[in-house]
Amino acid sequence: MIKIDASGLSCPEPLMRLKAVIDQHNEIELALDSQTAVETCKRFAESKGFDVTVTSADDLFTLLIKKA
Amino acid sequence: MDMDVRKLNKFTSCGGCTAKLPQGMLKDVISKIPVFSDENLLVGFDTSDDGAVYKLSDDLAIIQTLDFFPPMVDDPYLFGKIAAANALSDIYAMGGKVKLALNIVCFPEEDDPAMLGAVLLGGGEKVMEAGGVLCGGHSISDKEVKYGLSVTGVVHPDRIMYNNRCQIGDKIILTKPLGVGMITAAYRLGEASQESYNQAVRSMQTLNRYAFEIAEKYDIHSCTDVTGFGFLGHLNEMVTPRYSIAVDSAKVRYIPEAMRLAESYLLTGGGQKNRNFLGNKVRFEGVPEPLQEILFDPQTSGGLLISVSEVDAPELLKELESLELTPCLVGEVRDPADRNIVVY
Repeated sequence: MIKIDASGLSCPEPLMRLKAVIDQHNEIELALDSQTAVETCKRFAESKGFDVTVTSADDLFTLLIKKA
Repeated sequence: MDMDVRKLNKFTSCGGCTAKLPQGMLKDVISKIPVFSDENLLVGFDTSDDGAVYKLSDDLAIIQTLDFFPPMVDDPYLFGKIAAANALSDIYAMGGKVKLALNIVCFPEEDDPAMLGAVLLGGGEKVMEAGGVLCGGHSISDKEVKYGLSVTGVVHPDRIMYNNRCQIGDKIILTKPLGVGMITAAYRLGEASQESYNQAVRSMQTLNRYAFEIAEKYDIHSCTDVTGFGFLGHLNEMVTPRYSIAVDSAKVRYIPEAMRLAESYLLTGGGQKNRNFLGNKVRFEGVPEPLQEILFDPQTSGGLLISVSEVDAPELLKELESLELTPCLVGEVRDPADRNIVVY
């Protein structure tokens, strides 16, 4: 499991952070603070064959990305 | 002259028209402010048109518009040109001629004035190219650079180009390629090529004057320009309950690398906001998702969308092809459908 904090970054930078690690890990926790980044990162991870669970608290989103 | 070549983008995370507030939020807010009624106000808030139009006499109306945003390129002189071309565009989209322009400036007071000078030089040159007069402005100290213009134009009241007067059977022509939002955002992160970036910059700093001066010789019914709400967002503003618009996605031109970026999910937040807002207004029929993203991509200083009679469309397209930026005939106006726009 690797954790990435991409909060405070604007698109497409969060996606690039995720992209840099996704092929080396089976489980990734990704912190984001924008709804649009959540949607893009979720779609990207799913396209790579991962299951994505999104939880949110206050203005922070956490994506749990697991190899399906 | 010596140009300050320091980079502007340290100031901003989200430049150009991608920095627009979401369309849905704006509509809510605007619905709560007082409604003004004046019989000479020919175009106001209510139709989401490009600029306001006020009739002064039977043969003269003024067009008033304002646009400013943070940088989307790191060269201050280019930024000035692009921001000005973007602000001036609304006058052409309304069918008018540029007369007066005022600078709107936000700039950190501790920063180098030469950089601000370069922004204003670029902007001033574009106003001159538009045939207008730069006659003043207003500046405030701010931690983030922003620049734009308030522009006044004139138009004959019978020649106003409303954004929603398309006629069934019309063809829709787009005068600049799409993809500049994705390209400039990705370039900043080292993910788009210099060549694509150069194409985007060339497109953004090109005045819509040249395309409109050709278009106005033909039987055109409606016109708008493509900016932060993207191709589909602005096309949607042209639709009324009387008709729908069908788009042939294979005909849409874009900067080629935008497809690779879209396939790699290198999208802007603005593009996603556009997709969310337009979700139930657009139907895609077999259009690959990356191409959909290009159609949602926010454009800074994008091209004109022109609704032209079917008879005149081929000739107009041909004449527009003489310009530096290649136009494309992207769709047609049809009977009302279950969605405002159908993309196939």
